[in-house]
Amino acid sequence: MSVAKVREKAKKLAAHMLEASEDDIVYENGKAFVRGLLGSAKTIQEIALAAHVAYDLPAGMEPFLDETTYYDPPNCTFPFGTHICVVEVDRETGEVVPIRYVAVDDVGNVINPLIVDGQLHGGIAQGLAQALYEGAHYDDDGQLLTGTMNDYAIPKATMVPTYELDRTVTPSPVNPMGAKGAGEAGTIASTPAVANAVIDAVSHLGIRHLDMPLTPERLWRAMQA
Amino acid sequence: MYASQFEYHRPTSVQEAVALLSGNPDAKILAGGHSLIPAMKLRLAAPAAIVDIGRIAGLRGIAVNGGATIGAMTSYQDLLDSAELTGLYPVIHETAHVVGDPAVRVRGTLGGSMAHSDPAADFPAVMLALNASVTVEGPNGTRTIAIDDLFVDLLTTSIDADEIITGIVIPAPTGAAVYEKHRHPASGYAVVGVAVALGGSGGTVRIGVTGAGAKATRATAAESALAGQTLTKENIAAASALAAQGIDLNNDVYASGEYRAHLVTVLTKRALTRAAGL
Repeated sequence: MSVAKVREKAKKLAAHMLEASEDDIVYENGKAFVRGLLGSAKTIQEIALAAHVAYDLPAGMEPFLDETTYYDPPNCTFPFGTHICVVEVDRETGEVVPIRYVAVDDVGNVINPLIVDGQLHGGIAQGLAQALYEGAHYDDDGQLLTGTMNDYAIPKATMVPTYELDRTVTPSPVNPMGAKGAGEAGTIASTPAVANAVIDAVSHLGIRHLDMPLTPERLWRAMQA
Repeated sequence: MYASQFEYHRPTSVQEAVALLSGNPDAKILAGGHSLIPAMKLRLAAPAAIVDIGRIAGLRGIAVNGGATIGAMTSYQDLLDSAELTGLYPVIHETAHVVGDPAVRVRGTLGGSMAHSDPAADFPAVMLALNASVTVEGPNGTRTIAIDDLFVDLLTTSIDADEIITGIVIPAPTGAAVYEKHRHPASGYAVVGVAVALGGSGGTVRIGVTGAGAKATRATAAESALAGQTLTKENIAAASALAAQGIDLNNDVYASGEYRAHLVTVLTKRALTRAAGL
């Protein structure tokens, strides 16, 4: 909505710069021009500069192309998806190796796919870490035993598989961009996807549930029992 | 934290380094620094003086001649880069590859690993299996320490405070040797590591275990169970069950003593099986 306001102001200023009526101004691909006269175009950079130095603005126009809009959406957005993890559990040591991870998420209209994928990459790693590695342990005196990165395990790049990501796009009806949140898409699905895969791998032994993190010793003890 | 205050010395010869150590009982040698410096930053170590041996000529290098002589300041990366050494002892390449991470491997030294005797270091187990020895130089001259006499206790070796390791000597290989490791997911250290070297026809197998106890040790009960025998799946299983015998097992948040004993058995079995080509 701020972009819309900026475009309107730019058109108004362009009209003034081109000495034309605002109704005759078209704004396309970063340029404002008199309809039919592309050669007359002012770029958004030129318009922004004119707005910034403010030597000659139409009556009543404030300097700068700068807008802030506050929007209260009628509802939250509801991103959704399905994540699947394939793991191998070493029968003898209980070590879990995630060998494949597939994620299909719907975050509505995607403005910047690189950022959305990045959010998923990081979120999946974090959720996988919660399922398999992270654990803050305290002794009976309340001292944190896992107090450094030497003790508190988070995965390195070599410890996670290459993710296979894909998208569906269902635009959200509650904002003009049709976009939904993407920040938690990775974390929320990955922990149960990984944990469920591990339990599935050992379910034939009668194991139905194990507390996280699913460390090798925890798996080993459960498989012995 | 910052390390506590210390004097810094950078000798250019082994004799100078030895003299500095003799003159200052509270001095520590700086080799690769990747054990000493973190300890100093946590103030678990607070030496009054550091003797940086990084510029002493002749301490770094690999000579292969039937066996191998490796200079104490040879880095893990140097070990990885030596095609000759890898051809002779693939187990050294295999082990160097799983030590720490690339940054550690570029700085960390084989001599440092031997001198530090970290309970979870990889190479002590491998050198035990390969029946290596360590040459040290002190104020009274040079001597050789057999690997079986080197690791005395937690972070303690039989090297005197004023001696420095100059090299590690490995005899000609007697048979296949491998290293199996269960890697700690945070530190990368060996929760348990087992190195096995076969003894050739009729010869005894040597099994080095790290991570499980206060120091790297030989699994002598398992070795005896295999004495003079050709390895089979059955005798490997039986011997591996004895591999944790005699170890006062470590126990921490990641792995209990009981689980470590189990890992010693499993990794011994895997190492023997792989070495024997079964």
